[in-house]
Amino acid sequence: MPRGKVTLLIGPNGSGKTTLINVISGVLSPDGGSIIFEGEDITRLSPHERFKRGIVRSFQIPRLFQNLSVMENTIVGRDGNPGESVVRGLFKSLWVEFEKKAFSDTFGKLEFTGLKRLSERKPGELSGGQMKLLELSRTLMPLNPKLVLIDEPIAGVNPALAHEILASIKKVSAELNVTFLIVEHRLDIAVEYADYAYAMHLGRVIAAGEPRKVLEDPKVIESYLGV
Amino acid sequence: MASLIGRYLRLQSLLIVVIAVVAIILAFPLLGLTITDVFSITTILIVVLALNFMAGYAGIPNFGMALFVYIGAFALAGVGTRIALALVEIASPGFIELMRSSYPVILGDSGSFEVFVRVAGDPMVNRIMSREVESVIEASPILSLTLTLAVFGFAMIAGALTGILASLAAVRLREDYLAIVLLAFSELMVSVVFDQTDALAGGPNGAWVVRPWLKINALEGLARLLGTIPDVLISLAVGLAVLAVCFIYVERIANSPMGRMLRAMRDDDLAIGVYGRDVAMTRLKIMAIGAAMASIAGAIHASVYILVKAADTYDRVTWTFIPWAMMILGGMANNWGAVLGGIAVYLGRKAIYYYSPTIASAISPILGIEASVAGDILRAQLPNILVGVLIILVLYLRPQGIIPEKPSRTLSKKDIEELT
Repeated sequence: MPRGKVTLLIGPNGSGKTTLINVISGVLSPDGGSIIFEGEDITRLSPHERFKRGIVRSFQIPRLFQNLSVMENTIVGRDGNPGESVVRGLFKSLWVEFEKKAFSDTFGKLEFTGLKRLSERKPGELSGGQMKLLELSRTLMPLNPKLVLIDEPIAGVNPALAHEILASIKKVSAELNVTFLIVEHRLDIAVEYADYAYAMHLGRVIAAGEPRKVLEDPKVIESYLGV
Repeated sequence: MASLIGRYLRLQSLLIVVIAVVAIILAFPLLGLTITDVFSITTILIVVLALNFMAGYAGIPNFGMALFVYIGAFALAGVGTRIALALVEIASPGFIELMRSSYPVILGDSGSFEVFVRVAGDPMVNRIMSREVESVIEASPILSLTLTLAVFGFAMIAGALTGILASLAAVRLREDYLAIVLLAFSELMVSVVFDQTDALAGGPNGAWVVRPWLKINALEGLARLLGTIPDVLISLAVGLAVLAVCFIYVERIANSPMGRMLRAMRDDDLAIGVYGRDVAMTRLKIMAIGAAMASIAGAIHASVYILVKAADTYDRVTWTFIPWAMMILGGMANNWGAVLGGIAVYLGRKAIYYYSPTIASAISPILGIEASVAGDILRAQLPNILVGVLIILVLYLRPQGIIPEKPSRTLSKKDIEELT
């Protein structure tokens, strides 16, 4: 994957896109092979250890904290809070400044995804599209991401906001030199913002390169149409 | 200090405190409540707060609470008598020799080490030695303080280590499996290991408790007025102090980023792991702290007893399931709820005990049995039946409990308004 760029991962249903994200993020262990990240073999590391190396992910079906507010769901995406300790948590002076900065960033992300007015609500009160947006807001919270894996960020999101989200991802990627891998089925919108693309079919990469060329590749068309 | 008190006593909290205090005061004449009941409420509230910290906030379904409470009692009974004996022997060498000449039939010609080993395991040796050392301890401020620190320190450390041990095999499991492992571990330790091993704390015969408290004559008058003994008043004072410390601890953590992270971990441990949190390590720490709190409660609880038996005194109904009922009724992941639920369930059970003769004489002609038999059945079975029914009803009708969970209040309203 080109560093600091937005890479699109496409393929028909069941081609293994989400499985690939699960394997890279450590949610599933691979049956064989290894995962190399920045020259380090991370195959045996747990998800939280991979996160510490800069791998962040979102889930295709949002995994939200059902009893936490929208605000809280987003802010827990921010790592390194000194107040997350059974001892330091007792002393507010040790974490209040970090917390204020995290709150302010959270409001920023929620403003961007249009969820700010719902910040006190619980995830159960949101629509499907809003849940996807909340999942995305949380994915944008970590402090030093290097590789962000996003599974269908614009599924169920209206076209205008979908464009805004992908434009913003591209901007974050360029400004902060963060690599994004995006799984998406809405190719008409996504292709505009991707720098590179991979196509998968039956668990294997069948095409790679410039996004529009990948979409036009006969093997890719064949896998989508099943002919 | 004033700002600290002010912070915790906001309007709703104030209301809960007022309701609780009024309920307890009214319960004295209405339910025949005694100082011992107030003491029991104090110790069980520490256990409920510890359980709420583990299960309500962190999502660790601890069905092994009885074990952690018993570890504290063990610190005072089996271990306490031995520590006390060692302290007394160090303070006045020749104590064991003196005991041997005073009780030749029981101690025979055992060596000092053998006496020390048999202290917990042999019912007769245990009984005599615990009373004899206690009479030395209660007269010496230095010995009393040293023993207090030693037994409570032991309870805390042994409780935390047991918590870690219980979680080592279990923290990576899913919630439902974790619950079963903790229940099984607790049963195995209390009913098999402790209850069947004489050398630990007397096995099924139990072990006599050595109270570490100093004899304070000035408390005699107050104790008589309250219908109790000075030792119980000291235990109650220590219990209330520990309850206050535990409450402030769990409430502060609940309203810190840690509390928020724990609630997130409880809701979805995979998602919080993907966001860089070490779920296994966090569960381990929470288990250690919660278990240590429960063990201290156990040590305080045992300090008013004369004799404690592992499986008898620290049964799973009283120390695991009833605290669960209290927490579920009050509201999980809410410390004020846990306190309110704890007091409500305790007073409810007390009311059944207190009024069972009246109810029994009313229903005995209908059932065609003697009033005394009906009363015994009511007292023995009704409270537990009602606790079971209560759990089902609350989970069905109001699963969030009396006071529902609230967002972690990490920043003040003013701070948040400024940030928006």
